[in-house]
Amino acid sequence: MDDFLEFAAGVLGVQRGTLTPQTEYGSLAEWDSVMHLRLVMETEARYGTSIPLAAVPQLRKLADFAPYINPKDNS
Amino acid sequence: MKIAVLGNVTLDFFAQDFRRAGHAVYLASGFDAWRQEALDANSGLHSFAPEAVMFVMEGEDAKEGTSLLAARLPGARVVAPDVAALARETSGFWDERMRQLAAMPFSLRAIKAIEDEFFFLLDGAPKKVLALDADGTLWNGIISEDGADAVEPYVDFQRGALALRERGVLLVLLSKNDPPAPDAPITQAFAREDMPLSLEDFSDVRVDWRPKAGNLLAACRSLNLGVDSVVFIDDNPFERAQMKAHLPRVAVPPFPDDPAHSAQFLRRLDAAYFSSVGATEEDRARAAMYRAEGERRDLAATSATLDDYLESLKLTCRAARATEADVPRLAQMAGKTNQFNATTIRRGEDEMRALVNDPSRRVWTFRVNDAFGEMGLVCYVIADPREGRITDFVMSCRAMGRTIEWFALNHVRRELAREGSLLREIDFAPTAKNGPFREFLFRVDFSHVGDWPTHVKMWGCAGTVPVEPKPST
Repeated sequence: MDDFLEFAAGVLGVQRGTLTPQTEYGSLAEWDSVMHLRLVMETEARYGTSIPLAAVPQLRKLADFAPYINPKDNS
Repeated sequence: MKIAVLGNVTLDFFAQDFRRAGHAVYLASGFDAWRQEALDANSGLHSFAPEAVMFVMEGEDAKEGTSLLAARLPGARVVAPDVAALARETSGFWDERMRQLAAMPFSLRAIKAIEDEFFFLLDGAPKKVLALDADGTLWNGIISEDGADAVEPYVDFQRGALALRERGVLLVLLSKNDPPAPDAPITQAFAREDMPLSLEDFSDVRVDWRPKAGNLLAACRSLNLGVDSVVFIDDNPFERAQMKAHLPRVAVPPFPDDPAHSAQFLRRLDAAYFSSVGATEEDRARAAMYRAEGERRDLAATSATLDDYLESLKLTCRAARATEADVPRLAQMAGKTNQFNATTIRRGEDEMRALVNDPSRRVWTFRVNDAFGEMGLVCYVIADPREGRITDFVMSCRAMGRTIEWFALNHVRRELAREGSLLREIDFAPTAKNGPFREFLFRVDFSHVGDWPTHVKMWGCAGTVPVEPKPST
């Protein structure tokens, strides 16, 4: 999740420290509806996953992205 | 730059990107808002007074709108990327989920392609030189790997280039291959009867293993033209990014994902860059005048930005001990790789599996990703820790030029040291094709014994090595 928070901070254009797994969509000025969709697409590209249409509205907190982030081999 | 973003889909994604890149952006949202704002002289669009307009129309012809905008905004360059053409040339262009969620049907790749096309068209100053890569651009395949006879020429693309040459566009060949000796693959490939282009069609030929930016500078000097008169075409995004970073005044358009569209792509290039070729001598004189100053700047930029550039690539190299799952890929690389291959020993899957499972041997894999995406397993090294000896060192030619080999070498040295072993030898068997590996060895701080450059072992390992990619943490 740490890796994802750092990644999300980069996408949203905010300091890493401002984000926790509980940070919610809409709670930051930077995280608006357009940025939300960008975060979805960027997450898919970064983690090589696909987030179904029906699941997008369920992504309210950063922690909700957990099933779609599968950190790459870092050994 | 002041950019207005207009069109018939949600455009906020583009506006976000442009703002992040430091541009001032005006966004007209709402159905047909662009038309209303263009017609109303008191609109926000007119107050903003854009220098450039990006006009994105999906599923509709942009011509009428482009004319209207150009007429109403005489101070702006109006550029309408051809969405339908880009969709044909870019895989994974559409994202139907986004159409439903955001009234915007583009994937991230599409957004990037449209933005690249916008800046590419915006920069459409007249050019005189078409610098062409060979492998993957002029033909399907890699001549040093597949053989000059086995590659399949992109006939329509080559004919298009030939037609440009006949109109006075100078062609330059920039290829990473062995130099064009009589028996070299590059010479043989261009001698084929079914190859529309021949080596003689190029005003300047630069075929070696050096960076293409430096070779292009040298070619421009010999042609007495500035680098700003060049359009550089390469199917490899890494080479394109390197050219952009080192010679920012060279036009570097994106290349279609599917080479089937490359002839059509060349026609669009023609319209954007070469439509006025041969029209005036003044163009040529102006290019020569700017050349000296421009090249100094370019050279300075070249030497100063290599580290920054590698940093900006966000290159990560992940080392791991090989597992059974890696065996097919390892055998495939052993069978195919010629250039960066220490000994060119062709090991099959059974032999590779035995090595992976042999407790007395070490097989490391190196996976790489960068800002362009995941490259996968592109390098492996096999070592015998008791002897402190590397027996196999193989890297895909796709991965060359990113200093991955240094990362791999250092990793192996560290891992052997952890086991109490010192790396002392690298097996090397020179072939007609593994010149890149030989050049690497020359730069390694080893001293060598034996009958160089025949099969030798290299002894002694000391000193530091040049810049290496940062491992991911």
